[in-house]
Amino acid sequence: MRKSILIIFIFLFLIGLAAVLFNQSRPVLIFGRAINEVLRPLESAAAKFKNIFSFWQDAFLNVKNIKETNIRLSRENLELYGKIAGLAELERENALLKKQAEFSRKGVNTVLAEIIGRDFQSNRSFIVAAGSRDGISDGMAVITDGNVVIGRVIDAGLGASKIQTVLDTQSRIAAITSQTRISGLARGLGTNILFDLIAKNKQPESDELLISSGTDGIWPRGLIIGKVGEIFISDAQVFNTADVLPLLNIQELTEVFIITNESR
Amino acid sequence: MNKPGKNFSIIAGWALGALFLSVFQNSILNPYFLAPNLAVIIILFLVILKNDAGALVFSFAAGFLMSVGYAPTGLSSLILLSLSAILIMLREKALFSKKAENIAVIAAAAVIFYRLLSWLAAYGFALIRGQDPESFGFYFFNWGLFAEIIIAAAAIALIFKIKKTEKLGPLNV
Repeated sequence: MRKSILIIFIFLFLIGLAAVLFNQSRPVLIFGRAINEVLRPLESAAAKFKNIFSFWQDAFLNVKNIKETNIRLSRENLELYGKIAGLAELERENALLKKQAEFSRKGVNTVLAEIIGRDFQSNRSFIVAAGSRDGISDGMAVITDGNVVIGRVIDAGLGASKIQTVLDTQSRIAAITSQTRISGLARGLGTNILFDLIAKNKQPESDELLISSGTDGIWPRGLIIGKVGEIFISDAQVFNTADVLPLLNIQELTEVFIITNESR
Repeated sequence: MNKPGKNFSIIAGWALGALFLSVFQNSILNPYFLAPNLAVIIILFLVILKNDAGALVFSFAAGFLMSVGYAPTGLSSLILLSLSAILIMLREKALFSKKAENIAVIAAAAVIFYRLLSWLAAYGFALIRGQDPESFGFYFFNWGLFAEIIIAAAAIALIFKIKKTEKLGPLNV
């Protein structure tokens, strides 16, 4: 390597190293956020373009599937009409039970946010086009349709926010199984989620839903984390553990809801 | 244009290029699992062209812009700078040529080194923060690695318009 190249390398490397070492210092944070604000409109426009492209790509590649799905859904629709009458009665009963158990949640306000950027080949974090001026602040839970938890806001900028997904290794959620009511901790492993700290004498059932228990005071109660997968029991371990199967692919999401107020 | 003005234009051009590249990478390519890393391809291109200073400056800027908001600020710059340095040293030792088979080998080396450095950085950070380290398999045992190598090699070959039978010998740029 030539001397001038070596000098450039050392100079740039030291700047990079300083940025990493003083990552949480005010100047680095301000600089990072300023760059984010410049990138946000461009990323937003690019994400819109990508979504349009993906829509037509899917439409083009899946014409046959769409036709078959349409036929199947029409058939299922007819069957569902028959079940609606029975469900109305169940719904009334369910509402009464919820009231009785004071289980009904208070009003939840959400902000719809478009995903405008992601980290490389992983689902650990992404950027959404909503920030403090939309009422977003650090720590807010991020969900999608059906109350499925996606992650939480870890860095709310002015017009964009960084979301840490449940897959991130820093993600920890106090969780409980929906049927067997076994509590534990759902923690991200980078690529998947592990249901950890299950008491030795407890064993959840495969395929039952895992929901947030709200006992950690960080995550709202009742958000769906995933389904219980393979259960690991070993005499050598202090706790039992289980794989958690996500209900959706975070990489396929284009929009999410951020809960701006909730009952915990 | 005088020399300072020309230098400023070149740096501004590279910075603007890195900006658009980071937007394209983060918003359009990254949602696809088999996405290539454009920064690695461009660094590889610059190293083969022996534009070492350009490769280093681009590594720093692209790493900074691509990681801001996702990874600790500057970490990707360190990874890409290290990758550039490794590729420059490899080129000087192994004398890359524009032969198709050499392009494939250097593309594979670049992608593998990039992933190795990324894994080491993530592993180191996890250890420092007392978290569970990320699995090696996530970076290496998947189709994304092969897809990235193939795309990187194809992109470099396309840039140089290489045919497999063409024997151009060592680069002489």
